Amino acid sequence: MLKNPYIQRFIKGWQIFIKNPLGKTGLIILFVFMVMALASFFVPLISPMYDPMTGIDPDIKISTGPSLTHWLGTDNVGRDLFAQLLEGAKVAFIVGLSSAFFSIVIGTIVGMISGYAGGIVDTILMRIADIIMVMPSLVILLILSSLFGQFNIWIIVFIIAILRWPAVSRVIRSQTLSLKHRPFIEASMVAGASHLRIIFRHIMPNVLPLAFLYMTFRVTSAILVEAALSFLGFGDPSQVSWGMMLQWVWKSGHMFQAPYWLIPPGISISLLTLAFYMLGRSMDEVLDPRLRKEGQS
Amino acid sequence: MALLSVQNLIIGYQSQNGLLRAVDNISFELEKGRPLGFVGESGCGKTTIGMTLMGLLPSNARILGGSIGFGNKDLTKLNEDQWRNIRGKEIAMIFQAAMNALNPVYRVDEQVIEAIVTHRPDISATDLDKRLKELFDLVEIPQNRMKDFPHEYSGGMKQRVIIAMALACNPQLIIADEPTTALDVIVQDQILKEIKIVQQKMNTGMIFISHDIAVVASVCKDICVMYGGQIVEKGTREEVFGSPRHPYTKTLLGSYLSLDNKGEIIVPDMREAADLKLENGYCRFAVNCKICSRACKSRKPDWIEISSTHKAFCCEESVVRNANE
Repeated sequence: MLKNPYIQRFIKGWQIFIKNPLGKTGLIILFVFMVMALASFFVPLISPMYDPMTGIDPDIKISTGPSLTHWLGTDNVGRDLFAQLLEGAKVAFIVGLSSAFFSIVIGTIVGMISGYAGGIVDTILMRIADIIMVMPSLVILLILSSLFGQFNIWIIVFIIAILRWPAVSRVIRSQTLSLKHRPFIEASMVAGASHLRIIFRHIMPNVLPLAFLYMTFRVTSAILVEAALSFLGFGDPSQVSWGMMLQWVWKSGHMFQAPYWLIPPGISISLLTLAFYMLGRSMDEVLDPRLRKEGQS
Repeated sequence: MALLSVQNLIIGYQSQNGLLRAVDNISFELEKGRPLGFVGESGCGKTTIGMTLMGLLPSNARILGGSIGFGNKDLTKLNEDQWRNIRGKEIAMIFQAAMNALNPVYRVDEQVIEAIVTHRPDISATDLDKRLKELFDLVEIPQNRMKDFPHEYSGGMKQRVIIAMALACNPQLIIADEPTTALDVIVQDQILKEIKIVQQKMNTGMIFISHDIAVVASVCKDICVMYGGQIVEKGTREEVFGSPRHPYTKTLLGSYLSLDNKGEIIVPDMREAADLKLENGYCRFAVNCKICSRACKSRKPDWIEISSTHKAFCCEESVVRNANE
């Protein structure tokens, strides 16, 4: 079991990863947010008053500051801000991870096919990637949602994924180009393997670590795009998210009256994207030995 | 009937300088049980022949003429699907075991059965296991190493695995392209013995491609010497290496690293590379040939028969006939 190179590689990578203060910090922050996201499932069970969307404290009619019953205070209709913050963490994870996942799936497949096939297929796929790569995703989303009304959160996730795969596919393509000429690919060709078998059985396991690295960077950008969209009022109105909280604080005119409402979601967005970014950077170091300092192996 | 019969094969590479005939009008026949060796320097077209027989020519290469008879098929006329059926099943290839000859993420046994799984997807698990054990016995790797990963193998063992991969489907023809070049002499010797034993046991046809004369001489019964895309001399091992007739064969056999002579390298004067653009049929060795006369550049050389098996491709019949020159 321990002989498996995946496990060996993982253990070795973990040792390098954990030595890096950047990676360690990122992981700790990420862990805190994960606990928050999990907690959001239980908060409404304590009392229906704590439901982030519909729970209203019957005693409160205006936005109040932190208290024992409402740790972060309430918004202007009496909803608990801490419950909203926890719900926002859950939504940020869902949006970030799922759109990053979709974009690396598309990016990896397109990149492998493009790199492996070469020629005209490569040219066409990469020109499409170029065209999509230069499109500003936020602006496109704004235009689309002003055309078709406010989107469901999953449609937003999907559109972000569609707009963000080209960078992944470029990296995977270049890795595939170098893998394509390794003797083991030639060997399976000689054994009579079909092109699809070579791509998915021999090339894919070798590019997956790189794809996962790029996934962490995609998470960051997806969370930011969703937050910006929600803040501008084009988010999913049925879904609490950090961007949505900022939108509400601005719309209800509490921007400069309620720092307890404005600051937590803002900081959360920054911290979570920072955590994913730090995670990606230190994973980069694991995968690329040239970035390591002297004495680390 | 010969297992493989190549007639007047011409292969051209489209390059920026025009069409290069990397293989120029080559004919040879291969019998089962008589391994055929191709020797020659880098760029003489040996590997191009190997790749043509696997149907894996690069995209800028084309077969310009000739035929390759294999069984009742002409290999020059197959499409990609038909090729995929032949590759690994009827014709297999043994590679040079360089760093990346095996996929690092899979266990060795999974890679050996690749060809079987590809060509017989309905094979049962027990049959597969039995075949796998046979193959590992054949190349003398202990069965308890079957589940290891490639990085746990030594270079010699990797080469054995590659041989096992080639043998997986009992191919009729094995093409060995520089299989021992990356190994040190001691392992090289073991692998060569292995290849010989396997070839005799399974009675397959074999084409052995190498620049190393000693290696080719130890495995092959018949030899083709190549220069600039042409076969310049062919015959049995004893004939070609015992009494070389073509000026290039003599040059090739005369070049070696001398250890006693202060490490001096004795290489004959080879000033120019062979001109691959030269029109079909002219002698390409003429630019470097010591005995070349003006006549060589104006007329096409002929096959001069020394014995029923031994032939040389040269313009100067008197030189070829005279073994002592």
